[in-house]
Amino acid sequence: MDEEAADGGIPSWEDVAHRYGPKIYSFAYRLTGNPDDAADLSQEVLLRVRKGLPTYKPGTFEGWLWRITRNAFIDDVRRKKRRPVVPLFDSTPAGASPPPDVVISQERIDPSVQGALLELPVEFREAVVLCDVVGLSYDEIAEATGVALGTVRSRIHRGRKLLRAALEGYQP
Amino acid sequence: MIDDPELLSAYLDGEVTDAEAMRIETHLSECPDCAQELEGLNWARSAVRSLPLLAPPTDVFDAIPIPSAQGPARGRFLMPVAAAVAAIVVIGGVVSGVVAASDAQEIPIESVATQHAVGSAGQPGVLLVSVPMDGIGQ
Repeated sequence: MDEEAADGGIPSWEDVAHRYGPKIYSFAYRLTGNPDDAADLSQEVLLRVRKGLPTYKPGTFEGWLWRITRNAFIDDVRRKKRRPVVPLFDSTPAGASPPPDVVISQERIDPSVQGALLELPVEFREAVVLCDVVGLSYDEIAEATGVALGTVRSRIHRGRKLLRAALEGYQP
Repeated sequence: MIDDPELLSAYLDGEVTDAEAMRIETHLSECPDCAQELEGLNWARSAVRSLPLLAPPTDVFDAIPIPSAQGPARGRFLMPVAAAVAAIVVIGGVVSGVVAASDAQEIPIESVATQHAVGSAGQPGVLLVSVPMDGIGQ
């Protein structure tokens, strides 16, 4: 939690960009799988944050921030009406699965995890990324996405089950 | 199988009550299927959690002008943040091997010289992807 936000204060826009920039960009990249789209989305989020800060009422700053971030993503999805593209850096050959006696390095599995994320339905992907990339609690995810706590729990669980199935060849 | 399988993911995330946790643990000790399911869910969870935090390109910050209330003219850019990013680019070139080791071909961002993050490098649990820069820190 942001110290200033935890104190109930309003951080400056520069603080938000400084402290949350990597998380916002990572959120955007993990959801879109494309560096250009991630940069555009991050910029849109920061613009919305700057615009909204003057009227922000001290409270749960992260809930406010991630609601803005999530809404920017959903708006982008609706506007483009397209599925996210396969990441450019995925070098894993299609259908390739490692021999069972090979220890899979993180460097090798990362692109596959990213690719599997992009195959998830948007609602599941969003919930999983907010939980496991951004590190929000279920309550914070519910606040950011505007759905019930039970729905958050269900989306995360179903998302992980799909990820596990998609990455079955990599699991020891 | 447990009557509400979604509890298993919530259990991994610490999002269950003490009573639910006790019920799950009791069930897991008696149900190999659920224990295996929990293991698979935990693996998927860990796979996503181990993805590195990515540094935004600096032009994400540069392209956003400071609000007019904080500056005399429109089109003035966020120099403090840009300066901080530039400084970290230099520092990052030196310490990138310490902060994060990553194969260049797996770096998902195209602009090598602008990939160093702003302020998260020193935060616990933050792994920033940094890209080897030609002629810098190599």
